[in-house]
Amino acid sequence: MTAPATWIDRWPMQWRAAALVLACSRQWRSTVLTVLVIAVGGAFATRQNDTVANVLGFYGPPLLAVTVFAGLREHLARVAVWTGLFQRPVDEVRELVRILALCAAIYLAGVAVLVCGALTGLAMGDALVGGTWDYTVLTVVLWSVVVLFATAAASMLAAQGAAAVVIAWLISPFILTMVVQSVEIPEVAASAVAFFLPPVDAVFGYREVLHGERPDDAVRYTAQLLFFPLLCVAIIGWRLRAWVRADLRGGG
Amino acid sequence: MTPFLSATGLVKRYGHLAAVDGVDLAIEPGEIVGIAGPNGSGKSTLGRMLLGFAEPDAGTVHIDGKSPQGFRATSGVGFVCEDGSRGWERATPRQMLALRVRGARGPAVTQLGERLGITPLLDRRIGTLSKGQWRICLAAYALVAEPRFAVLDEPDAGLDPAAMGRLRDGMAAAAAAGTAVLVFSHHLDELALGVHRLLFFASGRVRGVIDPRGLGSFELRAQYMSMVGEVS
Repeated sequence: MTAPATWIDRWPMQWRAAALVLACSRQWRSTVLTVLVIAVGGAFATRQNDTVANVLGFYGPPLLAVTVFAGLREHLARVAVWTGLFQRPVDEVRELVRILALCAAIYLAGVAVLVCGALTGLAMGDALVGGTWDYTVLTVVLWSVVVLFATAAASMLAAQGAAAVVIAWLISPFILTMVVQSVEIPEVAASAVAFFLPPVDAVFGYREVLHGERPDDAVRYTAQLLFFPLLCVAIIGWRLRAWVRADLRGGG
Repeated sequence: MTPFLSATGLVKRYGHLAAVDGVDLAIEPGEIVGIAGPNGSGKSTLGRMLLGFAEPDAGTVHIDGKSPQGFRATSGVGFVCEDGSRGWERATPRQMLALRVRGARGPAVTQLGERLGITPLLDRRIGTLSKGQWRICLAAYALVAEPRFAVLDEPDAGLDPAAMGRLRDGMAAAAAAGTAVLVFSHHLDELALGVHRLLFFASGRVRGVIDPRGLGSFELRAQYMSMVGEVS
């Protein structure tokens, strides 16, 4: 008797391992349900008060990213997962990139659901004025992408406590701003350091740049927004190559 | 002629402890080599080094002229590791087998499933299987793609006598198809029934090699104790 086909039989062969690793990495049903409940609840709350949309757009992506990526990192470090995956004839780095790509897709889908909730609330509410739409959409998209790269890189970087590293990195631009205000640091040095931190100023100021309102910051903000993903990709690539060398993953 | 698998002067240290301390080993296709030794003698570390899952501090391994990592990436291997279930509890054995062969409902899986007696287990969640059931499913995962080299680290842990017999049949079928099999076990009698050569291993070194076929339990134990007992 032939058993009925399961969901994994429908995936292309080269993506099956990534899908199965992610499926096994956490209890997805509760994660998906939580995201849906927050999105629906956020829509209703946003109707009354548009700051809820900002809270959802600003805090939702990091929380979701930490949940998804930190769990994946811990899961991948298990010896049984590693040896199960890589006794197959596969290029290990490519396989890990596929797993990360699928993880990123899941994160973006979750963010899209949260943002849809916030935007639905804005559309139904009375709070929507003038440029709110483009500001909300552009900022949330840029912020979600920055969080995606920062979390993926930090999760690959940190063996333990990936969530703490992610949060520290995401708030580091605010700390830098406070340090610059309280201590005399040359502007050039502060700008140089800012290139290695999530470009928060660029994310929240880019709409004005696009409207031609901040010509002095245009080049710097654009450079930061382009450089940061490249920096994260370099970190991820370095960690993945180090990881596939023997003895570096958990339990060695 | 160069053996299919050759390991020379393998050493692996954890701090001051030499887990593997100068091992030479050669295995040919179709050969089943057993390794028996006390807990903590370095067997699992040796297996991981042969497969490229751990880096030796000294010595070399070549499989078909390639490094273990290179061989693994191009040809694939079979591996039953010590702690094989953590991380896969939410999958089913069939979903895992689908990572190794096209058509998890095809003849390769069906045939191996019947040979190893795991057909009723294939669509159950791994987290619901007993230790013995999962060990034999891991053996199926290791052997289903007919790898040219397989390391089975205590695949018989927790197996009942009938399942041990089926596992032996599975290993014999793999060897007949050309797989070089290295199997670690504490069950001397079972090893003796299924392997061509039996190595006694203790304190990171090979202490002796015998052809176990035809030897009884008493003789096997006497050989084991004479070669391993004094150093374990």
